Amino acid sequence: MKNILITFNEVYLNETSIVTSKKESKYLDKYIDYIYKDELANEDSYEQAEAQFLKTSLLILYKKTGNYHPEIYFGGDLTSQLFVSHQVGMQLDSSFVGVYSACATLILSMILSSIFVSNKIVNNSISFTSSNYGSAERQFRYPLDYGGQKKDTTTITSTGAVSCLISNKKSEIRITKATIGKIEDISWSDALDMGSPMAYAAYRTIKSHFENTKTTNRDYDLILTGDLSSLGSKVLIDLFKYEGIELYNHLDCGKILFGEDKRYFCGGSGCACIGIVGFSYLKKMIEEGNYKKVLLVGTGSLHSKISVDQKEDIPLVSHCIELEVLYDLSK
Amino acid sequence: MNKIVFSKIVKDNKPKKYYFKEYLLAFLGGGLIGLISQGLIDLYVYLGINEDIAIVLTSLTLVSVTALLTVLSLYKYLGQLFGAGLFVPISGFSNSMCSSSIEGKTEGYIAGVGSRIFSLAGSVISYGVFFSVFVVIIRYLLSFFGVSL
Repeated sequence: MKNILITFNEVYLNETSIVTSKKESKYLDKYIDYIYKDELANEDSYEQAEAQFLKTSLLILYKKTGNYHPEIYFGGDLTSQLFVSHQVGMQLDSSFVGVYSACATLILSMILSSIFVSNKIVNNSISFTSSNYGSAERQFRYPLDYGGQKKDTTTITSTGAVSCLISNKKSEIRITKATIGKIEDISWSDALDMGSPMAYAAYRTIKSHFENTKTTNRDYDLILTGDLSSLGSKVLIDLFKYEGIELYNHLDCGKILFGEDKRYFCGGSGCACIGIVGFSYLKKMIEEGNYKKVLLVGTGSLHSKISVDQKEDIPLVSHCIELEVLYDLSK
Repeated sequence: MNKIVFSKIVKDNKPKKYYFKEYLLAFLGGGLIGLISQGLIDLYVYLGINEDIAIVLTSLTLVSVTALLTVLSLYKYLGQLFGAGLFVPISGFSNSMCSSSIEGKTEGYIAGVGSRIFSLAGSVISYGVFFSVFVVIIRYLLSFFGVSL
């Protein structure tokens, strides 16, 4: 079976908002709206801090767009039962759909928002996601102060929250197409190297997007993957090379986020990673003016702590969304 | 694309591992703990404490210092640097208990700190007790054949 391709009609990405902690802002601080000094953001627990990041991001988005009452929200995070999103949801006054697709959550939320807007069910919709190093480590790995040696292939969950308003109102960035991925299996059970198996999921989804839209990678100015890390990024390039395709226009958000600093091992990961880097890059592109067609590829590893402890194979997923920058509107 | 091709591609791209450097650091870390412990035993004996008690006191000192370093968020950097050199000695045990209990703080003192303290170190205690009973039984049985350990 082929993956489904969705074509949108008059859907635009109006505004984005990015909130991070200090360490994520080092290379992109020009594009970040608000920076907290650490992961805890003066809260008692990392879960509360994550909610605080998310609330700040939504408030900034409301202020930027002047739209305080979007018709529907799509969003999710990494905590069990999406608790952070649901907790913030208690204070929202519109319909809310919780979305879980691990680190591809933002892309899936954006796809769902676009479907709703494209089919004129709503006029505007907000997609958001958040992740926090402290809460994710607790959910999936070891305590923060545990001194066991980390593997070189480890990725560091990014701390931050991002949100975006998608509507039928014209803006510089148009959302044109999307492919929803299927769950992939590559017999992988090592949760300390997520970049490599997710590269496989990204490879499958990108390939199916190319097939469905009858394009090749040359038709895109940039293929931006979510959090494959420096290892996964190389794996993705080699996977395409095996097929005879030179993926010269690929960048990875996880690799960019910490600027390949060795203290962060293979780079950043987490729900917020693709949002922080992806949205920053969209702003950068509009400024620079040399990108037109961009493919945002979110990748997620759908394991739980228990499934990893029981050494089950990790289900992987990847979704992609195609954006078009309309320069005549931005000038 | 099959799984064999995929694993080969992953293997080719893995970051280079510097085994010699890691082994050397683990060796030095473990050796350093050994040196400090011997120094502490000698110090306690010099202060007039019985040698058996000095050994126990040394373990206690190491556990306390590790706990302090863990609380100050410094131990994880040492752990990353020295690896098994710090993980295998009693400092690793102390760190795993202390770090899990810090993590449980947000759930209160009973269900959080108290019960989560053994979530990583629990197996050391369970198997420690189990195998010590096992060894005692063997030792007892051997004593019938005139073997004394």
